[in-house]
Amino acid sequence: MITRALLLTAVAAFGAGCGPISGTEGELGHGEFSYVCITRDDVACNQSTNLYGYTDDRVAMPAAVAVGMHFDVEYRAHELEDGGHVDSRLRSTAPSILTIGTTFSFTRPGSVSIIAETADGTILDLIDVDAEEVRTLRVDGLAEDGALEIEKSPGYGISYTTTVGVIALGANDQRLAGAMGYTAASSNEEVFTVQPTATYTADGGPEYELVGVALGEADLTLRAAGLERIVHVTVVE
Amino acid sequence: MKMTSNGAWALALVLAASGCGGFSHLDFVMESTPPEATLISFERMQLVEGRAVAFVARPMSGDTEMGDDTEVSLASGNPDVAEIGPSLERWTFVLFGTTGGETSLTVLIDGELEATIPVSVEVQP
Repeated sequence: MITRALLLTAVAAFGAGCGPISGTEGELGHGEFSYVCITRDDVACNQSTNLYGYTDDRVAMPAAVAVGMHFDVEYRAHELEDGGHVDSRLRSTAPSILTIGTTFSFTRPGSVSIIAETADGTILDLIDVDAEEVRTLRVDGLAEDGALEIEKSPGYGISYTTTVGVIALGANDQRLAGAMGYTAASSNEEVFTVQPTATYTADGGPEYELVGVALGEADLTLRAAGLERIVHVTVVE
Repeated sequence: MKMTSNGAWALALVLAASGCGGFSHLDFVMESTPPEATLISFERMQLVEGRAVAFVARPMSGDTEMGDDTEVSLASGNPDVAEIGPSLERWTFVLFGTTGGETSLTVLIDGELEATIPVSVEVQP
């Protein structure tokens, strides 16, 4: 906990010299909490670009995060009247539900307050964070029957590509923040290959590029947040 | 000189009205939005596990707020069930239940133990 407190203080101090970050005002109004994405596949960040067009990795607190997925939170107290800053550390008010180690992670669905406090235990601020279970992996770009047909590339250095998007969703198709750990794999790379792109779907899920290598059939396996979705792929002429 | 019963009441009323009387209770003013199941009062408190509540605990003498220099300290009887800590503003505290159970808050006014408030913490479903 102490190591983390020092790290947060250092991060806050570093952030103080690097311009404003987008956060959410704490309930007591003494500072701002920022949600920090620890991977690029976190929907909380990959839909947010800053003034310079770069993806922000510090954003406002999301409506809900996914149970079991990792994220980070920073707090920056408002400037004091003398221009100074108060150093703070973050604590979970229910460590059995929201654990704070090197990252933050919910062990089960619920709502937990994160408090920012000084070294002497004075509580500067608080904010509530909700967590939901990931229920489904939705795959975009499939035919109505849930399968996928892609064209065989002609060879000679020419590849036809097909893009598939995937996103992990909560109940009622709610988008959930957190490092989902998306992966995609082909069951037979002699039929088709798959690789990640640097782009995201409209909902913020990662997109994958499929290349048909030879006529035939194989499976595309998509995984995230402990869920798996298998898509049957046919490579056609 | 022996004070009559009526005289004592009159003096108490005058002292209470002037804010110079003894502590009677805490008046709570919420500073954050608590979940529905939360109850904060001088008689008892009910919290939801993991949800913090911020409030101002105004020391009262009857209907009158006590002087600005009145020191209010609140302490949890079992920090494994509920924790409380001061915030920046005068008489402002943040209370939260860390796990389901029962405990109490002790109320110290100017260092004197004045009351004990029972606290129950509901487990999140």
